[in-house]
Amino acid sequence: MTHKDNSHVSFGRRQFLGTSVGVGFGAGGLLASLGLSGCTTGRGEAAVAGNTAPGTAGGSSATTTPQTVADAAKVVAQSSAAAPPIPSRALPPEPTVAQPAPLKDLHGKVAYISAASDGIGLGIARACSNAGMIVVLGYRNEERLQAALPLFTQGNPGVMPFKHDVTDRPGWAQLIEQVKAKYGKLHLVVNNAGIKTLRQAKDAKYDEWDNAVAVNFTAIYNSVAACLPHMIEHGEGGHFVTTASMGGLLPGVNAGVYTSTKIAAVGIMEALRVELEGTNIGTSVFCPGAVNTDNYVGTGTENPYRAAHARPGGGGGPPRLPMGMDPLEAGERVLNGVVNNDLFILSHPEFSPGMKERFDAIMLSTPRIEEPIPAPRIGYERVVLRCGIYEREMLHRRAKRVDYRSVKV
Amino acid sequence: MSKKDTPQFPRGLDRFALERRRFLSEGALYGAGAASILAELGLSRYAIAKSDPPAGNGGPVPRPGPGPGLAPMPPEPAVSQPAPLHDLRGKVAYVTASSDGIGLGIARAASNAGMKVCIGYRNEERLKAALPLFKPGNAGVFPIKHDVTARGGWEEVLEQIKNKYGRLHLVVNNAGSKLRAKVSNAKPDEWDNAVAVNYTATYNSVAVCLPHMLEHGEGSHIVVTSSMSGLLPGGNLGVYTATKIAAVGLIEALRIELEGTTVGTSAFVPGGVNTDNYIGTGEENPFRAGQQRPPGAPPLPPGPPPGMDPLEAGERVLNGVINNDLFIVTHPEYMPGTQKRFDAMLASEPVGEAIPAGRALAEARVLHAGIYRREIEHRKKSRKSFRSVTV
Repeated sequence: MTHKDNSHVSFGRRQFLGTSVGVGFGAGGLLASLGLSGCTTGRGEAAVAGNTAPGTAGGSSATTTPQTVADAAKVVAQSSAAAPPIPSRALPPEPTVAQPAPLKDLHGKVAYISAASDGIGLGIARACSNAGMIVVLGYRNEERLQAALPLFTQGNPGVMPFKHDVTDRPGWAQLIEQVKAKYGKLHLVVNNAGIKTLRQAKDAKYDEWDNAVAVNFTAIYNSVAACLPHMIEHGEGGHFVTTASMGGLLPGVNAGVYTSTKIAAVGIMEALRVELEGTNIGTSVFCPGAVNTDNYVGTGTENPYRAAHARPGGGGGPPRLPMGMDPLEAGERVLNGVVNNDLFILSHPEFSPGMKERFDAIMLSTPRIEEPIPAPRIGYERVVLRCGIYEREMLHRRAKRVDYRSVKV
Repeated sequence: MSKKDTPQFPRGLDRFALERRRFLSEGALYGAGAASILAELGLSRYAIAKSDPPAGNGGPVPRPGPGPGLAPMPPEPAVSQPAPLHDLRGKVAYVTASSDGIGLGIARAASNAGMKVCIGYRNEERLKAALPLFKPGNAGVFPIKHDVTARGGWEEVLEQIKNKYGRLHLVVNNAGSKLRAKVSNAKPDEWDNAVAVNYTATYNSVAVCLPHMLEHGEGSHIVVTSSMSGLLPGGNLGVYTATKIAAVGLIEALRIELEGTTVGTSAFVPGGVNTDNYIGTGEENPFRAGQQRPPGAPPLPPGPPPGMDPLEAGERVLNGVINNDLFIVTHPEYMPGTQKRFDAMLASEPVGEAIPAGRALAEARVLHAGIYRREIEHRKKSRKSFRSVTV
């Protein structure tokens, strides 16, 4: 199936319609108010999907059942049969466009990147520095830091190293204090530190699991708890980025501790977008595939192509070419995502067919509708049924973009 | 598949270590012939670039065999894992937090299906109210007081179950934190508790119960009660949704890991069910039998309770177990929104850029997770019912 093949979408719609037409007028009105009335029934298509039993798409009552949700919406508009509003569930008005990028102009702004002495973090930090940002480098290993510092271009704005374990909450508070003391404000937080364990979830020891959850998931919460109040307070616009992984969208690597915590990292950034959409704090999750780092292609094997590092043992074996993305390019793509306030920063499109398989598997898990969905249930679920960030993100993605690396809007 | 059918690997070398080595060695042997490589990976539409240096003769690149000293990869299964626990009668289930709500519904459904049911609970009063709901004449019901975040507690629970019934076949990680807080204003202990209950507790259950399940070798199953919020993070419930998304992800990871074993895996993602945790809002369900409305609560809407009955939810969970469904979906009204989420993810890929063929080849092992292809095929089969607890 290609990306343009929407058969999975229409399958979901068919099932949905099979339901809603049986529900009656109240549901039709609710569906219309949820923006779902554009779905059209496809009685003739019903046999295509394996789960859909013949005859379920049309509902049971032939005389009163509208053929489409749009029809049902019209009937509702002519009657007063719509479900009464529920006072405790009044919904605030929904924005029509995606949150404008709060951090459009990077020049002179201050960035903190955790685990930036190496790998993707170093690439992001170098890209920030090249874009005119003041960069605070989170690090734990002195040697790596010393090797990293000369890679920053001479004449760029300041670079301040900060020794930091991201699982340490007081450390986050100290970070904010030090950044405020030295540079006044913090604008961009990149949660880049990650545990690269290849443990399967079924084999992981307690401390391995706890450490992976603490670094790959809870550290993001820690950063928000420590930095968000400051970013809201200074009011200049801020942005949170998390370096997750393609494993966070497609858990193809057989390493459950890693993939499951990365899926979690994607989820927390989506939740934050929902929460912070109305503020001047942006949110992005970066899901790279292969980048030429120590954590090469998520294998945990040292990347033999890493610049400035000889191969272990001084060589042997055939020469190898770098196959992944350069970390600096990855960093530039992250910043492009920041200045555009992309919710998902993807850089490796070769994963999308596999992602689509995952999504299709989830969509196809929708059961055949045996009984109509009660309209009041939909009424009560409205608060969670409506998650407008994705619709707005799709509109945002349809806007023309010159490129995915430039840090200028 | 019995335990001895599981592929054996050299000591000290897990399956992934083999993958990793082969990954790098194959990557080294390729490096050119972009078009044919991308075609082989099903990525032809990205072959628009002068990404790689031209190949020596421009011809198709032969796929090399395993490098020296590397065992061949185990073959990829053609069909999804057959349901390990397809006959529930006489089997033993442990359902955490089953003195109330969805957990009670699952426990009752399991009991009605002929299972011996161990009821995880924390509140004595709720347990006492729950016990009469089990039909007299059903198989045994065994309450166990248990906080799912305590790892030592899990070991004690397993010991108690083994002493009472000998074996454990089904673990339902149903306990959940209903915290209604945003990620952006949750207190540290609130966050930690939600992660511990909604996410890490499932890992705890696997760490403790999986070895027992593999050891007794009878078909077994691990379920997590996540939520539709685990597929669609609407409603400004950040802590809840993030941890429920995590729980779904953990089950997907476990499916990959356990596909070749006698242990099945399912993530249950309900929408509105008539429980205390009504529709994931944390609000007390006004329709719960015997409950008084608290003073100042908003007026009740007219009509019957609008959510799904917990017993029906439980039956649907067991239907998912005996079919070994990876995702047990019960509330189709969320799926259009979920589709939008997935569409937004797919629409986020860069447009019009080339993929270096060498990179795609190096990533070939992780570009697809076969469990989803197999789950799609599994879902295309017709099914008589999504509630029946017999195959």
